Amino acid sequence: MNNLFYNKKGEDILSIWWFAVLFIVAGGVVFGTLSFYSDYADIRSFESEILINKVERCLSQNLKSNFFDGNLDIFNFCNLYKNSFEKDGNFFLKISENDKNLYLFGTQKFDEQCKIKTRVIRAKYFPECYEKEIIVFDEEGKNHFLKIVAGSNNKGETGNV
Amino acid sequence: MNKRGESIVLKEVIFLILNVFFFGIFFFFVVNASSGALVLEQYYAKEIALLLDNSEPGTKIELNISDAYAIARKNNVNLEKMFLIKDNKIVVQLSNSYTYSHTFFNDIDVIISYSENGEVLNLFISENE
Repeated sequence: MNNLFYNKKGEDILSIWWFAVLFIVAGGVVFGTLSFYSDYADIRSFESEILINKVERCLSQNLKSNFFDGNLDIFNFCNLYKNSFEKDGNFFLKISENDKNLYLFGTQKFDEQCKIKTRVIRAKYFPECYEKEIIVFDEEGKNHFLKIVAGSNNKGETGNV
Repeated sequence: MNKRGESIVLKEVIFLILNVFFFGIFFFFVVNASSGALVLEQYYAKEIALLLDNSEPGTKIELNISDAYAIARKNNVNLEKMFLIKDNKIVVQLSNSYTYSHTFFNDIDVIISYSENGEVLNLFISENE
């Protein structure tokens, strides 16, 4: 066994430090790999963009007066699942006209966080938001300028079987 | 042999063998981590959630899930349990330990079916009544 580590002159062939460095490198590779693959893939920006486009398509028809009064059931009208906004709090939707909120669904804090997000470079735990201004028409053909803000903080979850 | 008559071959050979052994383990570990059940569960849950969010009633989607099917089969997970829709969440199970679920906001009904060999997932989207 000694011949593996030392030659006849007592010079070390295989240093114990070499193994230590190898294990440090191995630990680094394992840690890096686990960190990379355990991090979640962030699709929130895609979700908020899809949501805003869906709402825009849904509002592109001539709208009745009850929409502008804030009395339309938007979830039913645009085929949105209500619990995803109200109960689970994963999504946020705000429709406003001339700074007056017509509809606001989801967690209230998303509204503030979406505004803050426009001014910071990175805020990992804030929702990913998307904003769009569109023109819609009422039954009389009059145009209205609406601002839609959609946000997603939906990260998915791991569960036990 | 060097000038002093020492054998340097043994030292180099052992060094090479140990290097190959250790890097082989690293490579095996990285490949396993990248193709593991947890990663694929998350990948498919999010991909399907985005597809469902973007779909209109009447849409039919066919998704190649051969890699997920292979993992599920290896872990003895039934085909019927691999992909489920529950309370507007897509739940993916490829192992017997964990599932991964992701919510979607589109209010639709989804009918799930599989091809005969289990490698294609069919999703038919209809209006939620």
